[in-house]
Amino acid sequence: MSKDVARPVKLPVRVVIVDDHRVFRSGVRAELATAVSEGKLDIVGEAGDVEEAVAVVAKHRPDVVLLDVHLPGGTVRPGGREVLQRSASLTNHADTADDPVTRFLALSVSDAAEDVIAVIRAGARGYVTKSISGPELVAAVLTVASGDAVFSPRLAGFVLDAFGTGAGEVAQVDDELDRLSAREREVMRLIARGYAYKEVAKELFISVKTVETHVSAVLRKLQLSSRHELTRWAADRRLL
Amino acid sequence: MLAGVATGVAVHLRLPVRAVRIGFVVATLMGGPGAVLYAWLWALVPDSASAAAAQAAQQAATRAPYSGAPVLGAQIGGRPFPAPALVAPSDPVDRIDLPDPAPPEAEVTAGSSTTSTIGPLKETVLQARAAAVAAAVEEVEEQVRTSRRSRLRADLFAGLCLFAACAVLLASWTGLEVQAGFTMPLLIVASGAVIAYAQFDEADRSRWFSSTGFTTRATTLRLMLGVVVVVLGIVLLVLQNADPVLITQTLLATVAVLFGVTVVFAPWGVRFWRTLDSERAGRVREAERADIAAHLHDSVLQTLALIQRRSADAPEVARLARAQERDLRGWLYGRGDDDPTMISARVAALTAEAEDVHGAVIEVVTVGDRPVDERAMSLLSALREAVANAARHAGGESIRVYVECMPDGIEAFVRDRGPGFDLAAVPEDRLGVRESIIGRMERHGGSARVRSTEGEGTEIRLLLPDSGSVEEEQ
Repeated sequence: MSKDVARPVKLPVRVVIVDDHRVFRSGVRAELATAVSEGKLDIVGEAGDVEEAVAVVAKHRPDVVLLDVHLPGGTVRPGGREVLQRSASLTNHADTADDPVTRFLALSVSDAAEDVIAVIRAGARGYVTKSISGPELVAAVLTVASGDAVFSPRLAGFVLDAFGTGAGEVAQVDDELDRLSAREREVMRLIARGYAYKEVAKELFISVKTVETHVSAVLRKLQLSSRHELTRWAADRRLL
Repeated sequence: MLAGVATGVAVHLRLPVRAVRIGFVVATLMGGPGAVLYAWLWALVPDSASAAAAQAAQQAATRAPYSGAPVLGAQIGGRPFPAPALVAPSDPVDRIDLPDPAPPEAEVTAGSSTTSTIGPLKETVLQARAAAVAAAVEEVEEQVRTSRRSRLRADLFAGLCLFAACAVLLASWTGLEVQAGFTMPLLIVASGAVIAYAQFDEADRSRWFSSTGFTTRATTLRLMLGVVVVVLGIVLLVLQNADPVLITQTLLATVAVLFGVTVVFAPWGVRFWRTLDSERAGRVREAERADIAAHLHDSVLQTLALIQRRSADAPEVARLARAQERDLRGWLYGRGDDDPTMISARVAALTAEAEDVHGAVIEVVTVGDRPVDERAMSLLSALREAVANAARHAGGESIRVYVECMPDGIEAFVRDRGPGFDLAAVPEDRLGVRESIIGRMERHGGSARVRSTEGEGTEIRLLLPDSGSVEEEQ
């Protein structure tokens, strides 16, 4: 897992787009064009399948990879998970200016819970659906680049569902892996209601940085929790 | 007696069952034609359950008007296998074979209507027909069930009674050693055959070849038992009055040969099953593919055609694309929220409706789920109103709907990013927010809160605690 310690984001953030549909890749390029022209982002490469993605990511060592969940090639399903697993060496070291960590933001049309969970548990720093607007996507890329997590409302909903919303389920200690703390639950609920981080911060009278910390903590729990409901819940959804 | 042949014949010839049975027994004792005839009838005449099923299907297909005893025709000459005739000749046989005490003419006229076509009203005819079909199906199902139930008893008692018969025959004909020597092994063979063949009976054939495991353990065991008994009988028949050592050796040799045959044919058998299995899987795949193709045709291709035709009308194209996306998404990643008795499904349905009507984009997140009850319906109605309200004011931005089913209640949020409005400024006569949302929630022990900030949009929160429901119901 990449270190959550934030380092000031060095602009432009170098981005690789991985998706098997060329039309979609050029669409993302167009969405990000403004940010690129403003010097916030720099798109350094593209890839269309698992093999290509692993090679391109290893070659360019980008800051952020926009990763399609369903990729052709490779042996692991979903394909995005294999890219993450094979790029683990790039994401698992200390983040320094000389040797920046590559972070993955999953981007998918699929709402299928098991796909979302598969890429998150394989190390993706966030998950957004492809219907996301251009400015939102830029914000998400920058958030991920700074080491924080990005949760779509739907992913927040998944988390609440998977960790249970029962009153007795609140974690007593913040770093308890299998439960959400009361604050984390509040943050997740606001995100699920469609609040941006800034709005969540305003609503809860905390700083945006604190919101990001909470979200990152939830991401960590999602990645590391052995909570059996998580697997059971994902398996339940797969059947349907 | 064994398989209900006598009963079938009796029904067919309208003779007492007992007389037919006695006839069979007498014919058997006079050199065996009775047994041969019996076996022949058993093998060739379809049993009533399957025949009735076939006939019911045929009648349903051709929609031939009929009334009254719908399956009796099928029972002419039919034999309801396995009738436990040997145990209690009068009770189960009658139940199986004569489920409907209709007059005999009904047997002949079944298939050509007697009453329903006379009815002047077409509707009455149709209703009668539908009822008759339903009755026929029910009857067939009942027969299948009964035959399943009675099969076990038939197996057991066929074997036991035949062995008992052997003993009786042996005892009564001790003087005629040769005769007994033939009869006993023959009866043993026959009983083994009955046990074995019973497993292949019509009612079970589908199960044998069904994909849900080709047979049950009990069936296999009984089949093996039948084979063993048959082999034993044949050996006894061939080696009459031979000394026990020879019989033992022969039995051993037989087992060895059978084992050898099994070894030789087992791979072939396994391959046969595998082929059958893969064929079945292929058929399933084919059906699935056809299903997908049909779905894509009905939905996606139709929508694409519509979009091409209306390409000038941007909002309409967006609406079509959105509706199609929702449909396809639900089909591909159906999250189990298609059970209309659950909240999540109702929320999905009402937001989909709002998307269609208002052309808005609505993102729904549901956490938890619970069945819809009367109070939940009131929340859903208020939610529908809130969503419609948001869709009218969202100004093209997407609307967020969040519904959480908590252990102690339901909470729902509808958020839009429209210009926002001041609730106090809404005129009294505007029913929308005040009456349909706030009033409705409060009447049902819940609450609604509208929070609107100019420029940031509006959020409506609906809360329906459970505690109220208990009081209200009492």
